[in-house]
Amino acid sequence: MRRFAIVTGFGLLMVIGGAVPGLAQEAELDSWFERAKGAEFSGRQFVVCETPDGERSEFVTLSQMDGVLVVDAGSGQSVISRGELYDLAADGTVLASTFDGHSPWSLDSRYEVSDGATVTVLGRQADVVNVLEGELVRLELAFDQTTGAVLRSVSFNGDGSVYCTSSFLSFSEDAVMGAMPVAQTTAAIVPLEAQGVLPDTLAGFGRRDTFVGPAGSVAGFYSDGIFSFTVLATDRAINIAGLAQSTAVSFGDDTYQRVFLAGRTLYSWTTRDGGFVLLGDQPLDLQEAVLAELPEPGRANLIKRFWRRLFG
Amino acid sequence: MSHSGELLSAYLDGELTKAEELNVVGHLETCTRCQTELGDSHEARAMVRALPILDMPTWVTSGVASSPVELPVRRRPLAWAAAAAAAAFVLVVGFATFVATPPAIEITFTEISNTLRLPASQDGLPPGARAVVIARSSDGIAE
Repeated sequence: MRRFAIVTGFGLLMVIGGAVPGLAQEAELDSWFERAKGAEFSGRQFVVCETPDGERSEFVTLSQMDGVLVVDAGSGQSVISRGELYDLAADGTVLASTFDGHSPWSLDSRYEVSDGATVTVLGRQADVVNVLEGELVRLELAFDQTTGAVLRSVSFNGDGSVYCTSSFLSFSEDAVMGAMPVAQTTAAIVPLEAQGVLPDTLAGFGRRDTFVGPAGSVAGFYSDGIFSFTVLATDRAINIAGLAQSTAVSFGDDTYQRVFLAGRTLYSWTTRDGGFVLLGDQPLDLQEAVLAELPEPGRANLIKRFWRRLFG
Repeated sequence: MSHSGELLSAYLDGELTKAEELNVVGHLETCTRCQTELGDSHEARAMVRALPILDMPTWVTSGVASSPVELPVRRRPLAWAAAAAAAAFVLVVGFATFVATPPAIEITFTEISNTLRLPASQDGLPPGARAVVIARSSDGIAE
């Protein structure tokens, strides 16, 4: 019955999509993702990104079955099930995070989806799907013809250069899954109906979810359907533990602290009114575009702070 | 009585009391030194009084008359008061700001990372397409 509903819905979207091209693009990509989400596999993946600070890479072991994804990056393990995230620390403790009320996935209208050639990845036949922004390929996906899993993905910067590549070094259709972990601690992410705290859109990314972030901050999850980032905003400066290896980077007159990781980039800065953190997987040019639309770094407004101190 | 030039000067000016004057006169009768000093003082006064009185040059009087009248003695206290008030304001604001500046909040990278991983994991995207987002079980940053 569910399959019938999906097929019917997809067919309806395709009909509507004939009149609204954006919907057709979204429906086509969604169908690829839906199939990949149901894939069963295990394998070892290599993620590598070319950044201005040098190459960032990491090996990740993945297993997926029945909607549960187990991720192991070596120093810890995560189990991602729908609505729940379990972090298994090296000492055996388990932290579960839950999140309700998220917005559904959607693809921004600036993207177009284009089917590419058939390629061979790890000896397996894969269909290439390109997500384009105008003439620019932003994301290249290679879907395994047998399982539907994404065997390789490549994201591109605005100048056409490769930003990040994630590809399986080994792949098996046999998923190796252990028992679901039992959490000692559970943290619920609380959705917020915050209006005006964070912009609805940033450089073409829509604010999909707003919730209470760490230390009482306001967190906004933004996505354009391809790339995603989170913005944390507080009324105080933010110190991020372990961020000693960050470097200062300037865009124009604005200076930020930045850390490149394999697949993610983190920015932190202090404005006149508080602290901000940006963490996302978007390519380099989109990082700068997003920063340009957020409050700029600046020295504390002494008078304003004095006034707030006196009168709240 | 000891020698006293101050009393001699006052004696010449007629400013001593009757008793003081008697003492000075009595001393002068026996002290040649004070007699000489008194004579010198008297002579010097006579010479000064004999100097002619000259009219002030016109370039001096005209310059003084045309110059704006400065009242530095009256303005200086105002300037100092303003400067002191400004300094006090800066100190008060600076101190209050220092006191008012709240401490920075501490957040671990894991906490930040979860704000991205969890929502991203629910939007239906598979690993691979979102590997760079959700396929992160641990942090690349040592804590």
